[in-house]
Amino acid sequence: MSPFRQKLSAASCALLALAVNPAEAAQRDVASGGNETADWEVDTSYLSYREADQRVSVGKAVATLVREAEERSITVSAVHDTMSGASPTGALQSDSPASTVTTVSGGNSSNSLDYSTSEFSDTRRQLGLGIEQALSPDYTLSYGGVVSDESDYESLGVNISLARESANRLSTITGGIGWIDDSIYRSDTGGTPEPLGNVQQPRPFSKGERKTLDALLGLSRVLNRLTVVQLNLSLSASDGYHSDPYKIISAADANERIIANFHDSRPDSRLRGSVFGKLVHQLRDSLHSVHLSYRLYQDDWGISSHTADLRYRHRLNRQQYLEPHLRLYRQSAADFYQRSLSVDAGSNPVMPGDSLASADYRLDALSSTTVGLKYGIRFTPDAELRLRAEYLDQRFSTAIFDRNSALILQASFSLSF
Amino acid sequence: MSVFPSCQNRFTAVRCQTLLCRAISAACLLGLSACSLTQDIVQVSEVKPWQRGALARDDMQVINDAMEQAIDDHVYFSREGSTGGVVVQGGGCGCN
Repeated sequence: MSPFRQKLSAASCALLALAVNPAEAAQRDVASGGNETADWEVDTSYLSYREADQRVSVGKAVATLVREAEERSITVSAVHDTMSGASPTGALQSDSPASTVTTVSGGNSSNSLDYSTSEFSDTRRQLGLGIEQALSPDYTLSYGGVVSDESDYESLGVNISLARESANRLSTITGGIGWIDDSIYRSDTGGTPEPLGNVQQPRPFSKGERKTLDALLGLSRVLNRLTVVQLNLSLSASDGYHSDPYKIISAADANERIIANFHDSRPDSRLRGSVFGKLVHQLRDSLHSVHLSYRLYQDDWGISSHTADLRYRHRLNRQQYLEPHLRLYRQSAADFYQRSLSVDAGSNPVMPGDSLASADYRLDALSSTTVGLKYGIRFTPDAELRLRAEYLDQRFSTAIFDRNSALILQASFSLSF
Repeated sequence: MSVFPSCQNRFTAVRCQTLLCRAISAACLLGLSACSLTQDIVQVSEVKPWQRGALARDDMQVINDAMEQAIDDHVYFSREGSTGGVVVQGGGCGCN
């Protein structure tokens, strides 16, 4: 259900509950603060993402402004990311001189002898606009667009969806499509490297272009007065440049002595599909609630994944809550993922027959575990502060760096007026 | 003979059996709670408009914090090989 429709439903339910059942109205009021009549809502957030061993650090500032009108809501959002650190390139670690690797996003290599990581620094800006329009009591149309820009990536996305609520207001069917147009290039050359080209003999190609079409069909259903379930089916088809212009794969002998380094080469299309299910339940005789979700994902690169997510909101009193969070994720490796390319008896690299190879750790078989805790407090019915701390731990099957961990801290403040 | 190998004398055996009884009781209570919870969840019943007070709360929405959802999607999109499934939206990144 769209946020706008949620608010409409919340407001109508609140009125009915107030008229018929004051106790339930009070229960609703505890959580929402009774601010459905507000015309404006501002939500601001700052997130710090820091990986261990001084790998990637991201500072993300987000601001969202929502204008509620009688049958329409308009959302404007802005995101500013600052990213820096030492990103794994996929190359093997080496103490011996290797090929010349131009660093990610225009930065400088920290160690001329080891190209397994590369320092970078970049800034990303994103602007978004979303409009939700009630077409009738049953139908809501949502549409919008997102523009994103950084030194080596430009993205333009538009989306539209239609939601139909049943006459008894217990179920909602949503269908939506999105179109994304991306331009990918290196910040130093303005182009992309030759796929599987030797990094010592660079042959710059033009900018990479990629078009993506997303489609989603969703159903949400009220099972009883304490439970809501959601089921989403989604498909995504993309065509164009899918390689990463900064990633490298090494060709190495049995002792992992690097013979040469080559640029990443991935298929020029990708088809993804997923089934997502979610359960939201309020525990009986309490104001505590549980969010449990599961996603099954499969794509034609050979990656399949399982994601389970559990959040438990424990209400401390009328103004405050604690929300522990656990997320478990597991994926298989892409068909063309390799830790490194092998070499023959003459120390010549053995290139893959389909010319596809990548050592990007995100395409390896991996598991991720996230544990976190959120604390929320309403100072007034219209002002809420949310603080969140999470720890992400990733284990990789054969990637050069077999672990990654990150600390995520977020502070958000929302105000309705 | 005690069920616990370490429960050799009478004192520790009685203590171990007490612990075992408590563990079984706790497991039964947990099982009953799980059954009760499952029944609460799977029981499909008609919900009158005036019974939807709980469902109208912010924390009972399937997406109760859209900003956090978008940020998390972006974090995991940049660190894992799969993405999507929740909403249709744009805003890609190089994501080193």
